[in-house]
Amino acid sequence: MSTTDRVEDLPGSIRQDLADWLLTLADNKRVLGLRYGEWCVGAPELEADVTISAMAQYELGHARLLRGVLGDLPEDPRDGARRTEPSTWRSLPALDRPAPTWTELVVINALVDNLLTVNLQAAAQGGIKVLSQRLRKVVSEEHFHSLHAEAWFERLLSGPDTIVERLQRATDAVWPQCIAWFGPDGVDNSLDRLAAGGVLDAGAAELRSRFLAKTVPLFQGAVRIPVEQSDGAWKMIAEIDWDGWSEASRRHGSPDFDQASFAMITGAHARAMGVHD
Amino acid sequence: MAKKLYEVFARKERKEPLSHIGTIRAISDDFAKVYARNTYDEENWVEMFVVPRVAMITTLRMELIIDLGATEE
Repeated sequence: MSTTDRVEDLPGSIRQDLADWLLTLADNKRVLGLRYGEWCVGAPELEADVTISAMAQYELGHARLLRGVLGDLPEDPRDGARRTEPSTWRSLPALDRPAPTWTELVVINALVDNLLTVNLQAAAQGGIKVLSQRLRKVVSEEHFHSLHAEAWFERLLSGPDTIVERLQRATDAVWPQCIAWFGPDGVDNSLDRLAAGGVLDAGAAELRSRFLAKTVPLFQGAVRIPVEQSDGAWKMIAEIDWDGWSEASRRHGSPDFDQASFAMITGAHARAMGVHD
Repeated sequence: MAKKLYEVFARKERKEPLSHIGTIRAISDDFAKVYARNTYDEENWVEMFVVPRVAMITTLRMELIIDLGATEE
């Protein structure tokens, strides 16, 4: 693994992959922060209100930090259309709309949040000093988001059948999006290029394996997912249709935000008042 | 599920003594950890602990002494 102090010192092709990866993570973090924030007075108990509110602030802070690294790169893929065109955003479909109930939010916490952390952890353990230094604190803060998901998943699984069924439906919707993030096997993959360039400490297959190791135990066999255990590791047993999948945004298609969500994540309300970020 | 009361302790630097910073009500130790960390996140703590209130053994409580004194009189 190569090491360097600055992202500017990376070869141009790696910088482009890094810029795409950073923007995709930053977009997901920003919209995830919004989705957590929507529950700051609606969680099942007061302590959960306070906690989800804090988690929202962390996600928004992480998004800002990642955008800061993007600013160091001449390949920064952001453009002015991001304020008016939802299709330029790269967040996962699971974040397009507010979570309808706390159960769906817990699934997003368990799957999407952990997915982003698996990626950031690989860069925190990678060879780009400026990136690993900035991300180590992010990863330590995310540890508690992961614990939050574990505690709530276990609590909901001990609830009535209707809640477990709801967990199953939400997982069925979000799980394939998270697995698709890592891209198809056996083809040139930007996560592998980032690993070869020293940005990440592992490529796509290993990162997917880490994600599976982190998330599959949450389901406790009560929520069914298409995986099997082989040689002590979890493996996918379902095929993904890769038609329409974009390597830059690591998802199928583009976001379908409702108008209010898009106004919130782009700061349209603030700009209408003459306040600019 | 019944909630238990947890006392939260933390310190900002390793050389500092632990300070009591608040309380949390939670149904399990796991929830107490998560809730404490996210509720009392105003400082860059280097350590934080949650302790079930029932695990704390009272060795001194001033009003008890006063009450006892009053009884003895």
